[in-house]
Amino acid sequence: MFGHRRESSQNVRVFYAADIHGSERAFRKWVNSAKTFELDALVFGGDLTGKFVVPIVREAGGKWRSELYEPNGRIESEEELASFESQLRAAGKYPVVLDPEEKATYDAHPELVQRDLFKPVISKQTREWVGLIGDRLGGLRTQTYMMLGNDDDEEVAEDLAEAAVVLTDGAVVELPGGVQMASLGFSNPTPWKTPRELPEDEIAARLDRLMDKLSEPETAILNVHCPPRDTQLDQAALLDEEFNPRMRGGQVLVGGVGSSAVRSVIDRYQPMLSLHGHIHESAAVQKLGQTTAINPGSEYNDGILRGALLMLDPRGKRLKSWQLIHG
Amino acid sequence: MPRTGGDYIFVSRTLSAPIGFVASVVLNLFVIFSVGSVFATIAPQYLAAVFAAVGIRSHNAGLLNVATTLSSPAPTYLIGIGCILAALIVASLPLRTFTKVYAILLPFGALSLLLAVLVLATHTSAALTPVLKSFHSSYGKILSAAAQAGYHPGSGFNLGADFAATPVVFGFMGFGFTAAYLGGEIRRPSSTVTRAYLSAIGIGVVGLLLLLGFAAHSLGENWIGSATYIASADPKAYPFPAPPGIMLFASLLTSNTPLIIAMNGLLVLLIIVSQGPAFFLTTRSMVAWSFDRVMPAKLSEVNERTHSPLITNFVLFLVYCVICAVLVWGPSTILQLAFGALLGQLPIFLLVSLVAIVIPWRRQALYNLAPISRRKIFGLPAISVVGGLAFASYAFFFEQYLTNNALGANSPVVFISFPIMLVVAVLMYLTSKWVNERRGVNLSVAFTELPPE
Repeated sequence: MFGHRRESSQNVRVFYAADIHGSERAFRKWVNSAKTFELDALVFGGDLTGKFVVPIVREAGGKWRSELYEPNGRIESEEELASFESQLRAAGKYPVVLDPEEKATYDAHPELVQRDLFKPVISKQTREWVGLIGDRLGGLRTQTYMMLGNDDDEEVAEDLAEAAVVLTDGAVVELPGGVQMASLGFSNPTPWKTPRELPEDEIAARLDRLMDKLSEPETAILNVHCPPRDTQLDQAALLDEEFNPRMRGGQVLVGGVGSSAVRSVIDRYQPMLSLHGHIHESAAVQKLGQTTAINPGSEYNDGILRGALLMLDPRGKRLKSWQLIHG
Repeated sequence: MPRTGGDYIFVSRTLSAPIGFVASVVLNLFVIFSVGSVFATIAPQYLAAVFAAVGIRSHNAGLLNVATTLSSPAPTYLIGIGCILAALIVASLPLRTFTKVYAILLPFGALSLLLAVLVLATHTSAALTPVLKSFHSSYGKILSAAAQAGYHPGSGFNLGADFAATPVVFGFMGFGFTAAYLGGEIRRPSSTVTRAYLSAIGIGVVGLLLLLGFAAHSLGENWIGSATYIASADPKAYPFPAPPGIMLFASLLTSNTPLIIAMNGLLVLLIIVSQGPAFFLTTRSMVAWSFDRVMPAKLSEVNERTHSPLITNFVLFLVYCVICAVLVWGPSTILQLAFGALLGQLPIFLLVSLVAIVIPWRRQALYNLAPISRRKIFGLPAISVVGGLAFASYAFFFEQYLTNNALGANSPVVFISFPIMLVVAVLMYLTSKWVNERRGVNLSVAFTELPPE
C-alpha cells in the first residue's frame, strides 16, 4: 500500500507504540499497522486506557448538553451527538450520556464516578478492542504483545487476557526470530498517584529478576513503560504542588522524570534495544552506551499514532534500523 | 530540547515528506546565505570602519593600512568565521542561559545604533570636509565621480525603499520564523510572540527611521548613494580605506575615538547575539530531518547538560565555513544572494500558506481534533482564511521583490540560484532515500497516515 519493498525474510519487522490512552482512532491505527507495515510483531508498551469521562446530559426536547461541546454546550440533534461522541472517542475521552438526576448524583458523590462510570466504559472499550484485534489480526502472521502502563487499572488485564495477544508485563517473552523481550509496565512515583506505580527499589528488584531470566541480556529488548532517568526520553515540565508548571525567568522548568532504576539496568546490562513511553512530549532516540533507547512519544489526543518501526536482525542479534512514525 | 521543526513538519505532514524536506532545505540554504553575508561584512564594514575613522583623524597610516587589510578576503573570512563560532557557542547554551545572555547583550548591541543616530543627528556633511581633504577628495568630487560613472540619484540608496523594506521583512518573516520554530520553547506563545513582534517592529521602525533619516539629513541621500556606487563602479574615485556603509560614514563624522570604537564594536556584538534565532531555525530543521531519518540520526542527538544539539551546531558551523568562503572569494555577484535571499524564501512561505489553506480538507481527521477547527471566519475554517490572507500578502511581497529594483532583490543570481538549490535539495532527498532503503527504512512512511478504520 505504501510502496515499500519487503526486505529479506531473515529480518524481523516490529512496530512499537504506547500511550494511546483510550483514543479509538490511535488504537485502530495501531492494529491496522500490522497489515500496513507487514509486521512480524506488534508491541504495545502500556497506558491503553483513557483518563476522562465526559458527561453528556439529556435535556428536554431530544437535546443534550455538554460543557466541552462548542460553541455553547448545546447539542441539538442525534447526528451532532454521534459526531461529538466520535470526536471524544478519537481523542481518548469516554462520552457517557446521563439523565440530569444521574449527573447531580455524580456531582454530589464524585467517588462513585470511578466505580459506576469509568470502570464500565473502560471495560466495554477494552472488550471491543479485544474483538477488533481478533478480527483484524486473526489472519495475519503478526504476533501481538501488550502490557498495561501506570495509568491502566489492573482489571484491564482481565479483559485483555481474552485477546489473542501475549501479555508481557513482568515477563520475558520471545519475539519471532527468537529475540527475547523483558517487559515491565509500572512507573516510578508520579504526582498523580496513578494505579500502577512502584518505588524505585521495587522497580530495580523486578527488573533484575527479569534480566536474570534472559539468556543474553545484551541481545535482548527491554520493554519498560517508564523511560530511563535524565535522558532525552524523560524530559517533562516540572510541576509544583498544584500541578502547575514551575517557571523561572519566564521559562518552563524542564527536567528528567524517568526512573533511575531503569537507567541503572540499561547501564549495567546494555540490552540491544530499550522501548519506552510514559512521557508523551519527550519523543527521542538516544544511544546509552550500546543500547538504543527509543521513546516514540504520543499525540493520542490528536488522533495521531506515534510509534517506532524497527527492523531486527535476529541472526546477527542486532537492531538493523529504526524509524519514528507519525501515523 | 523541543521538537519544533516549523514549516518542515507542517508541509511534510500535510503534503508529503519529500516536498516538506525540499522546501525546508531551500529555505535554510537561503537563510544561511543571508546570515553568512552578515558575518562576512563584520570585518570590512565595522572593524575596518573603526581603524579607518581613527586612522584618518589621527593621521596614522598604520591604522589605515589595518583598515585596508581588514577589508581583504582572508581577514574578512577568518573574522567572519570567528564571529559565527562565537554566535553558535552562544546559541548552544542551555535555553535559559541563552535567554539571559541575549537579554543582557542585545540592549548593549542596540546601543551602537543609538550612538550612530546621535552622531548623525549632531553632525553635518561639513564634518567630512577635513577627512575627504586628506584623501584629496571632496563632497562634490564624490557626487561628480558617481555621475560620470553612470549613477542616477534614487537608483542606489533610497530612503523610502530602505525604510520600507526592512520592517516589512522583519514583520512578516519574523512572525513566520519565530512562530513556527521557537513557538514550542516560549511560554504562552499566542500572546508572548505577538507582543514581542509588535514591540520589535515598533522599535525597528523607529530605529531605522532615525538612523536612515538622520543619515540622509546629515550626509544627503544623493551623496550616500554616490559614495556607495563608486566603491564598485569607479574604485579609484572612492577615497576611503573601508567599504561604504552608514556606520563608516557615521564614524568619519566624529573624532571621538571611544565613541567610534563603541559604535562599531557594540554593533559586532549585536550581530553575534542577534543571529542566534537564525541558527535555531536551521538547527531545529536539521534535528527534525534527522528524526525522520532523512539526515543521519547523529544530528538529532542532544547534549544532556545543555539540551542543545551540539553535533548539529558543529555541522552547521562547517556549512557556514563553506558558504562564507563562497561569499568572500566567490564572484561578487554571489553577494546578491544575500539581498535576494528573501526572494528565495518567499516561494517557501507561499507554499506554507497554501498548506494552511488546504489542511482542513487534506488532513481532515487531524484538523478536526485540533482546537483551531472550532474557529470559523465567515463560515470558513479560520486557518484557511488566515492562510489565504498570508498567501495574498506573500504574493504581494513576492511581486514587489521581483519587480522593484530599489529593493535590490531581483538579480539574475537569485533567479539562477533558486532552481539550483531546488535541485540540490532534491538530490539530497533522493540520496537519503537510497541510503535508507538499503537499510530497510522507507522514508515516505514517516508521515503517512495509518488507516484509522
